[in-house]
Amino acid sequence: MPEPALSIRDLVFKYRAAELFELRLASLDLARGEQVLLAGGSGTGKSTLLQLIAGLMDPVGGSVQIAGRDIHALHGASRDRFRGTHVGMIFQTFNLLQGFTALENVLAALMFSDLASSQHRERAESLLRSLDMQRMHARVEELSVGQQQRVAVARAVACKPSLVLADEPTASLDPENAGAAMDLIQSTCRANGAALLCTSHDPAMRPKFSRVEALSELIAGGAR
Amino acid sequence: MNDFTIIRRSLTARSLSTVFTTLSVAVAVGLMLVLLMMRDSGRKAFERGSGNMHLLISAESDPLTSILNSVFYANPPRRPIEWLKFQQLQRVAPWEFFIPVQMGDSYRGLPVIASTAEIFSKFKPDAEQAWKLRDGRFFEKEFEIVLGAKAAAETGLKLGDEVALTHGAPKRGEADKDAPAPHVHDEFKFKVVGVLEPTGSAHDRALFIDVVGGWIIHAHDRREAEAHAAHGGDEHDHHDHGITTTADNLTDEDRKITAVYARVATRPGSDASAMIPPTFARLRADPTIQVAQPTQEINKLFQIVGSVDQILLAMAGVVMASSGVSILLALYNSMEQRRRQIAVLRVLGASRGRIFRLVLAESMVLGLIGSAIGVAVAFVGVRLVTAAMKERLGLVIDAGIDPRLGAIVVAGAIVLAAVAGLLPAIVAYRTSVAKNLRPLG
Repeated sequence: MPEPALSIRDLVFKYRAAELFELRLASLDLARGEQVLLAGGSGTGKSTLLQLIAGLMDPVGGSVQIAGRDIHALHGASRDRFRGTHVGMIFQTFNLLQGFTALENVLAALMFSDLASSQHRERAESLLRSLDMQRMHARVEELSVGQQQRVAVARAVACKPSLVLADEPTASLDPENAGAAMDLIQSTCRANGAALLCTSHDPAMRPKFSRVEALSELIAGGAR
Repeated sequence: MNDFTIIRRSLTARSLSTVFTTLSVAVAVGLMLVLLMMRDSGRKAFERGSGNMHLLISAESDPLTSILNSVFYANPPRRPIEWLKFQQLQRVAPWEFFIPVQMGDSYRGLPVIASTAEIFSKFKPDAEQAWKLRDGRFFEKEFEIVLGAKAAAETGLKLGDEVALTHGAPKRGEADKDAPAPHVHDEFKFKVVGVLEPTGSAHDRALFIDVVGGWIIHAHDRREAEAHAAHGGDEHDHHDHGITTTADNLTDEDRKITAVYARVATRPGSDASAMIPPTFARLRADPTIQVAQPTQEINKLFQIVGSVDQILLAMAGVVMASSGVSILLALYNSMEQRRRQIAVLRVLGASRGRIFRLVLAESMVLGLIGSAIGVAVAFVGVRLVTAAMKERLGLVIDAGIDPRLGAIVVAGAIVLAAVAGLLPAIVAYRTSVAKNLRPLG
């Protein structure tokens, strides 16, 4: 049986600066290619959980395994490299590299991957084409919001990650575009064999996922 | 896509800051290189010009002026030495050579040196190197002319061409107010018989004629003035009296020179002679002449120039340091705007070390581009300075970039840029990913 895309056990996190926030998560698993919506309102710790999963923050205890590897057991450059190759991230504001073209934004992700550099361009171009992204040589600030979203999605799956973390990816879009954007993210993850853990406070997104988890039910403690 | 793409995008995103920072490095490197090159090659140029001469005798007011005028052609010498005086001085010591030189005529602004055949056979413009002919031969009689390498290049003259010289100095000061105005002697055509190889000295821009030819031009002027006076005409209208002047018409009044290139007798293979100090002392006692030891005068000149040189080098160092500070400020200020970019790169898999190296490399690229422009600035700067030296002092400085010197300055600028980039790189290294990706949702 293959390792799950994500496996969280007894995760405990506290902000060092203040004791006001504590997050405890006993268990969460995502099978390979599974898509899960993590529902919850503002301030429930959705973003913190995603950053813990991506290894951008360190927990006090517990483990986060991605494709069978505990990301927090890795340190420094090893963890960064592991994140680059196994985890894709999509943000509400896209966080594209300003001043870079659409193609370069995707190539930037591939720079840190295990894929041979001779294949980077072909991979990036084919991904952008598959997302119907025509203006791949335009700077991202010259693109429409919809086009920027496509670039962000392409970048997230460029390295063929096991897991894509999407943090409120549709929060800044109107309902019609939000639905289309979520469809794009889901279909792209599916096409690239990546599991998807998506946070959203938008109830309209729930029907798009076969599995919806309420963060408030998963965590013990939450915001205190 | 590689690290250089990221650096390039980062630099172009704040192009104005990049341009000014790069220019500050370029000015510093350029200034430093120009000063270093001029210092070394300037001294070499001075040493080359006086060649194997031990003493320069003239009637100038001071030794340094006599060297600048009679060896580097800064200005035509003002006061002549009578031929009888020359003959008297010739008996003062056992000379290896004692060569009369007369200046004051010109061709298209270039100095014409009237001398004897010994100027080519015994005097060496560079102590190590005798004259070499590129074409033709040395002059053998009056009305033959030999061109220095740069003079040939500037005038475009070639063997067999005939030229008319301008009598009188092109540069005229208060002391020349009684001298005749510069005028072209079309009646005396000098035939080009030789072109010299470059010597790297001021002599390259000179034209050489037999001293008798120079005297004939003077004699012709004198005879025309006399004929004109006899006719009671306007003293400024000297010409067109149908006079023909040859060597037979020369009088002692015409046989004047402006300097003597002298070398006391030495042992074969030796440049120094115990005879130099006593000969120098003896000549110095004569109040009607000026005697100069080129080596000493050049040393004196470089002592004066040397202190200025050190101040300028220190200033260039300060400019270099300030360019380092400007790199530091430019990168440090850009960090505020780049925190999100750094955070995104970290999310994509860039390690802290790689981010540190990226910022440091960006700083070094600024230093490298600035240095490259600085080298170009130095080339242009040296051309301007050497052109000014040639124009004002008649000094031909063959200033090239010593590759080692250039490499040291360029490497120094890049190292300085790297040091300047350390603090911004540390800031980048410590940039928090979590804080700088907000709003995250």
